[in-house]
Amino acid sequence: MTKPSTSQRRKALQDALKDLREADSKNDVIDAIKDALAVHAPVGDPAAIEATGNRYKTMATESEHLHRDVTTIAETGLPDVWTGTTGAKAAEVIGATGRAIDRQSTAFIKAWLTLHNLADALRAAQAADGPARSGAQQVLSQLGGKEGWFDEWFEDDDDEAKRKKAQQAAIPHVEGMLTAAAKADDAARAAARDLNRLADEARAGKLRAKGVSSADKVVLAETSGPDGPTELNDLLTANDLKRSGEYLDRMNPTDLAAFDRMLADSSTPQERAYLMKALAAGHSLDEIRAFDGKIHGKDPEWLRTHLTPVYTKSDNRDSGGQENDGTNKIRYGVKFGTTMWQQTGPTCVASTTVTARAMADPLYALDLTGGPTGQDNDPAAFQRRLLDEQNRVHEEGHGNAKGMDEDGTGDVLAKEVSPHTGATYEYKSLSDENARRAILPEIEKAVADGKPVPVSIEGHVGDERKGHEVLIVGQEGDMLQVYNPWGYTTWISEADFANGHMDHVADNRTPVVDAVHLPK
Amino acid sequence: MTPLTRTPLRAVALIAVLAACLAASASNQPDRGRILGPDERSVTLTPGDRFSIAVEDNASIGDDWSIVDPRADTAVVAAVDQVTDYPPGYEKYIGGGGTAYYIFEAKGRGTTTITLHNCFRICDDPEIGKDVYNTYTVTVR
Repeated sequence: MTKPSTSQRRKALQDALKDLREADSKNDVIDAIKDALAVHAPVGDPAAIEATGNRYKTMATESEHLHRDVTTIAETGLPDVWTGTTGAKAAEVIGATGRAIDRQSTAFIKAWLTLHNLADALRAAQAADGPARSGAQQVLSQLGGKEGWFDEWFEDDDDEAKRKKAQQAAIPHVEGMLTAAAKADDAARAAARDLNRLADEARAGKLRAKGVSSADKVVLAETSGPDGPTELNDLLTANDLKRSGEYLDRMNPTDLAAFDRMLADSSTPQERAYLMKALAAGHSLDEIRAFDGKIHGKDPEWLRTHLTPVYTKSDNRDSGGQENDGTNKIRYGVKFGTTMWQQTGPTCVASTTVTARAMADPLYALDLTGGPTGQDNDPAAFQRRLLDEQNRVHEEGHGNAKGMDEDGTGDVLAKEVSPHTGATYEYKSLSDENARRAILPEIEKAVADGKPVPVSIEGHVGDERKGHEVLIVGQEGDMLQVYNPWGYTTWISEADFANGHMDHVADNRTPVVDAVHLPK
Repeated sequence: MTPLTRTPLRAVALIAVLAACLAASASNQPDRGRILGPDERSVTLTPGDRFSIAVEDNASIGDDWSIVDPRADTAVVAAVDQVTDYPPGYEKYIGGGGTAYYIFEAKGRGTTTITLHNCFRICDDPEIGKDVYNTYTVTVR
């Protein structure tokens, strides 16, 4: 039997405290205190966690030494024997290796800090829980045993005074236990989020294909778009690296040789990365060959605008404050040229699905942006193709003027996105702040892996329910990058997500997350 | 009272109860009067007449309608209510909307205007949204 999670312990103590405050009999007070004491104290060994963190700090120091050595080679140049295309490729590898080691050093430091913070928080939570728990136990002992069924029916003034006195004595102790549990829960979720993210940063190791050299793995893992922060614009997600490796391992020797030639003939690291992304999306060699014919020789900027709908221009994750209707002031347009990737009709579900698929499948993205030849740059033509595709997916999910329901959403995700990411989607209804907070680590892990998460948001104006669909596409620290199919992304905090501030993404009529479709 | 006279009385009583029920359910919805179509921008009425401005209203698409300045002359026309009709079962869906009715009543002779504003999506960001203003001329004779 699995032990309760930190979130479950927090919820159990919240419920016990509520019962204690509302108790109107001695037996109810006793039950509420017992329920609180039944919740285990915050678990974990802070010293052991700190020791693990210190090992990462040591590794960070060693990694820094390695980074200095690689940087020296990059700065002084390769020996003269490395000439021509071989020299260019070697320089590419050295550059990518330097970036990878830099990321590794940063990851080790972050891991040390994460574990250090977790140890501190856990220590503080355990220190706070102890006296509170003892206090609650003392009140329980003073109350004595429960009353029989006859006595329970009648509470005279004296009994009532004693019961209230015990209740008032117990409440601060149970509050103390809850505060400690909340501290441990917040720290555990933050650590899970950060460590999951760091694990996904060990990117080259995700590509496990036997026929790919270590040098190639590093270069592919470190290839990003032509601008924007590199760590927020990796062309191959952790999931892409894993899946492309699996597909490579399943190829017959003839196909593998043909694919290797395509990679070797690529003009840029970005072109090579998009071919790997096409493979990860599940396309056949013939489809990839045709795709290569459309993109071969294109510069990285052309590739990005045609094949990557969502890219992160800046590492500024500020909201900029809010407009009058609650939306964040800082928003980043999701565009092909001057035309936005945005919905037109009641197709928010279909539109987020289309964008999610385009993020995972570069062939699909190119069909929409560049048309059948891949070379069409007409914004009006892109808009028509996008609208047609949104309507097609809307009909596929049995959508109508009312929008799309939960079953239809599941169907379109299974048909349009799952084949290209390998993820299945599980519908999760989120009834309150606790549920929204508890699911954040799973959402953040999926997003860090490269699997966007569709989110249903809602609100009520009088008796009228308003509903909308958005898509979590990125994650950094405690911030989530969210795409609104009105045509932009913006950053919100975990607290915004949990506490009913999704107005920062759309407007104040749909502030609450009511469900997600979680990729597994 | 003979059985023959009791039956008609019972029937009359039943009809009266049914009529009262129907009247009660009808009175839950305000009278919308003459409904202006999507392209209509003027209406002529007599005092006491009602009319409604109907607009498609979908928060998920980005509609956000409101009556804005300059306000109508209340001696000529007064706002009565605002209701939105949604299709049955809409609560189970994401992305749909309904039709909003802004209901007015003609009060006295004269001419005035009513302005409806749709702050569509983020209306002061021309890349993402837009301001839509519909002005309606109301003449009461």
